[in-house]
Amino acid sequence: MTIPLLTGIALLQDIVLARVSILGGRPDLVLLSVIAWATLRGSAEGIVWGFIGGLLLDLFSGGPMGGITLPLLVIALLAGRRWGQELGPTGLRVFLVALGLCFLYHVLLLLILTGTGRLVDWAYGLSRVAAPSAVLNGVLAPVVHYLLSILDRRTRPEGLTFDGA
Amino acid sequence: MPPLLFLLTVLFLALHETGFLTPLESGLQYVTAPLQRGATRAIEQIGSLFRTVREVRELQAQVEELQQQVEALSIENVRLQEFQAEVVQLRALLNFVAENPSWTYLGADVVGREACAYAPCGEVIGDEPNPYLRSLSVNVGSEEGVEVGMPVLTGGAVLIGRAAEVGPHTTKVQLLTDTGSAVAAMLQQSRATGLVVGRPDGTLRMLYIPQEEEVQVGDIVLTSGLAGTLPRGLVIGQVTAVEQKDIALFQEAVVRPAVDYREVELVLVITSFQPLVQEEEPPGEQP
Repeated sequence: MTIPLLTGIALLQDIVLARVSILGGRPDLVLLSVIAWATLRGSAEGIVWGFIGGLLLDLFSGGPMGGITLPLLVIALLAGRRWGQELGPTGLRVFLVALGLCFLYHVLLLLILTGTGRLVDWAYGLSRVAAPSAVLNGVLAPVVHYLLSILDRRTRPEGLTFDGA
Repeated sequence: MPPLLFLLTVLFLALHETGFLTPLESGLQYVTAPLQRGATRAIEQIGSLFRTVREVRELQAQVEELQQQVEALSIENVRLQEFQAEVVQLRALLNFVAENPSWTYLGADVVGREACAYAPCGEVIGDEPNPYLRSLSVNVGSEEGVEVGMPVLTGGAVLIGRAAEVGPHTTKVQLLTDTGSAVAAMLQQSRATGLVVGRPDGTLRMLYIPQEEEVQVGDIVLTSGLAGTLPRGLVIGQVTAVEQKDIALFQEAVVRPAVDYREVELVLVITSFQPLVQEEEPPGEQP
């Protein structure tokens, strides 16, 4: 079920959400799904989602294979850690985690592009794309988290526990 | 498994940069491209559906706005058509006046119509009430110079009748179709003369046409001016049928009036014409 679901999410992002830009920020549904799933199920499952979702986006985008996958793996690894338990309600925590990880995701994307020899305007990328995208995805994160938590409850095997703690 | 996926991803990146991964990427894109196209098409169709709904709402608003415009323009159109009809009639009257400058005229509006002023309403065609008009009332009278017997015309030198009753500011015009009306007439082609009288059914009939004269359907009937009561050459109508009997002294013709008297709105009264005789006597015998 994971592959069809992530394929649908990746297609939705590639076809619909890629056209959406709010003050330079773009909603990144695959990223938010990976963060939410890693938060709910731990890093291991998050990384699997990141790998599949990332490869699909790489394929759809026609960019370097692994260029999106690798940042998503890193994000999944970090999201699976139990950050900010003391930050308060789940919504706020999810927002802050998504805000930070989304910004980091963009930094990693820029790093990979730079590392593979592409000309990157860091100042523009961080201020006009990464920052607004982080805020936008931070706002959207609780919604995605809520929806995937429903999926998590319905698909969670008996006795499964977080592995990232 | 996670370390393996990390390793695999880094390997993908490295292979991509070296170009070794190109065949695999091409193959995978060959598989995913139709999926992308299909999904794109589906999403666009869904978007198109939403656009259609929005467009339908916009179109509804436009339709309402256009309906209001149509109503306003329809009213305007009716008004303009009225003006146009009036212009057509006035132009015809003006042409007649320009072609006959020796007479003086008085323009008038038709202000009333009577179907049964002269003929009893009981005279019907079949079982239907007689729908034809017998007289018109116009808004000029003796104060304006109208006298009994003056010819009344409408556009195109068409005689419609004569002033029958003259009030201070109104005149009742006896139409040619009235059963009491009789006008000396002639056929334009053969110059044969006769008398055009009104019939109870609202038609005209030309009587007393000599048997030896050739009368054809379509001949134009004009006033002959012979009795001196009307100017010569005014149009009365057109022959639609000829009735010739070997035993009769004269032949007759059914004449269709040149205009539909129900549609006359503007008329000219020739005020300078002096009738020699007040009026022809209508024939006593009504076939």
